[in-house]
Amino acid sequence: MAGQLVKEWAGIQQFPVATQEKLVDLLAKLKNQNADTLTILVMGKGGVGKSSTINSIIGERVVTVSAFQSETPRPVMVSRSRAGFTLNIIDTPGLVEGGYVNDQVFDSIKRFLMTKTIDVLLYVDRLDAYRVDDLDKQVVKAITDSFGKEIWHKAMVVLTHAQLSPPDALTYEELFSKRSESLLKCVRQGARISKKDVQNFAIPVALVENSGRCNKNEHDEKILPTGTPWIPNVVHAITDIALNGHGGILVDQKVIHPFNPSIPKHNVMPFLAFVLQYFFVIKPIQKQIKYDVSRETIPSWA
Amino acid sequence: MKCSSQTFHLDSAEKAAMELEAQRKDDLGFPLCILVIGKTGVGKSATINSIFGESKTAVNAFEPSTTRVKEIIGKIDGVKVKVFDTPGLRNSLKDQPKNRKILSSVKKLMKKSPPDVILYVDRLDTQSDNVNDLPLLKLVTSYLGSSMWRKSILAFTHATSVPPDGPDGYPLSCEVFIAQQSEGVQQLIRELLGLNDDSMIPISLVENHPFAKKNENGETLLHNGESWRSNLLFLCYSIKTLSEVNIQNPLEQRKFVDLQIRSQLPTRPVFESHDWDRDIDYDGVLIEDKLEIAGCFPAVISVQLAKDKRECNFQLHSSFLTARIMELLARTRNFLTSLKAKPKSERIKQRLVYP
Repeated sequence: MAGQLVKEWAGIQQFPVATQEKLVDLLAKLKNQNADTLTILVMGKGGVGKSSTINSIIGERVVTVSAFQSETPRPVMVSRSRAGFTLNIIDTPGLVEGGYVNDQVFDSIKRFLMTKTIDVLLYVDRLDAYRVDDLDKQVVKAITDSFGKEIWHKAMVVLTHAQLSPPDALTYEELFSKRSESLLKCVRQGARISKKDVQNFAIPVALVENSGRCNKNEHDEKILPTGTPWIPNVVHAITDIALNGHGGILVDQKVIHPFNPSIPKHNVMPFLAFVLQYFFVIKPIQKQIKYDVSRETIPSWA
Repeated sequence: MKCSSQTFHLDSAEKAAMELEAQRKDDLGFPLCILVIGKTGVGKSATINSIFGESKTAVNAFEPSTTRVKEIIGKIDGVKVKVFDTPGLRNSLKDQPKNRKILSSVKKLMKKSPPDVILYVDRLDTQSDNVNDLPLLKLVTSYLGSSMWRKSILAFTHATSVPPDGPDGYPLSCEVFIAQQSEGVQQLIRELLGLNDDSMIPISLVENHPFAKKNENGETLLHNGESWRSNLLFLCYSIKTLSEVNIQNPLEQRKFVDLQIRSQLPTRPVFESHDWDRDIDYDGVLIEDKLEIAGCFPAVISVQLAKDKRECNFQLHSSFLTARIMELLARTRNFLTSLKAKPKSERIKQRLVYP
């Protein structure tokens, strides 16, 4: 870490003055509590807006975003410093592929995070994806299995595409409440947080609108349909989590290789697997096919 | 001369139509049967309500509201229309048995009263990970037959949603957005059917939001100012008419070989590409199934059988399983070596301490 020059957080300058002031206040709060670095991990399914959210918070296009191609190919860390405070945000690829959770992505994320400490986890999903299904639960379960249940003490939910018109004749507040509740329920189930334990795991939910046509207030700040400027709102929730008393999650050897498999020089396992397959799978099937063919009376297709 | 003979035909046709209309008082006798399928939560029931102009079936953004295949009958501009609403299909591996149940009941329904048009519904604004839909589309095609795409329309809901920002930071134009989102699904279907040309399935844009812009007739408008409902109905009637007159549409240029496969598992014919031969015949059968080993490891098993039954190929793909097995074997090995490594005296000591 020493000797590495971290870029200056220039992006903060392009925010409207009102937003800048709020952000500077929040950073000062962190520094007062002797936290001079903050590492934020951003995870979620593909296409929900992880990279866009990071670009919005940093204030410059640090991560490439494409609305159509499959997203970030590998984990990437963006670091910015300001007045002695360093902000690290880690963007990750989508966690779902082809109908199930992508284990290789998790492995690559864990390897990337080696020796780093996660202070805050941002679990990102879309506000307008109204259904929660088994896949979401599996994603949460995989996160819990990878980093331990303690990560949910340092986690928050981020809902993107916040600027929308609610369906089913709901008000915006009703929509937000229903969507948050159903997603939080899914998180509790996937992370196995029991009903008694729920108050220990207060997972805040914040709204985000990353598009250029986000409405603005009189101070030119980007606001939600409720009128709240969302960038200071999200950063406020992040700082609250950072200072909530629970320790950050250190990603070390124990987390990455819980069983420490060391591959020996002479690896006998693949050979053993082949031999077993040959005798117990291939040979019986071949015998059956021969038997079938000998009994064949119907002419073949053609 | 030519001009007048054409007008003569038009006049007589119009006269005949008006006479027929006068004879049948209410029912124009041109029933249209539409089957609506798609993933859960995309807006199938909402689209059906919009088509009829009234709430015929329940909708719910947060929970599946259609739990069984439902037959909805109504009249649109005097024409009797029958629509089948189906429960939504799910993307996760664990829900494949549910999907199979839904699709087999749809298949039975199609045999009993074959639909004129199949509406495959999806959201326009959530296509970014549509490669995840390929297994689902494969399953649908294997149950309903690849000929289903001949009479299908791709209906994209949330069609007036504002396009996202492009790479330059400015919002994409609606045309570009719609083209790129719909092309994703078209490509998946082409891949599924083994087509490598530009054949396309007709697309219909849908907007069911109550606050969307409407014209003076109360019809919801798209970004280009057109009423989507009229376009969709026109498309449905066209497909029905074309299929009745048996005109070949571009997708028909290849013969669809629908093998009569009595198989529970998704099976599809395998084609070797013969560029010089337009007449495509199948060369074998590929049976694929996704399974969960021990309830948690996803795997894909595929069996490919050649037409002459001379060659057979079994494959089991599971990267997860191998990793777990390696871990388990490593654990066992570590445990065994740890046992060996302990000096004899320590082991005896341990036995004394923990009798």
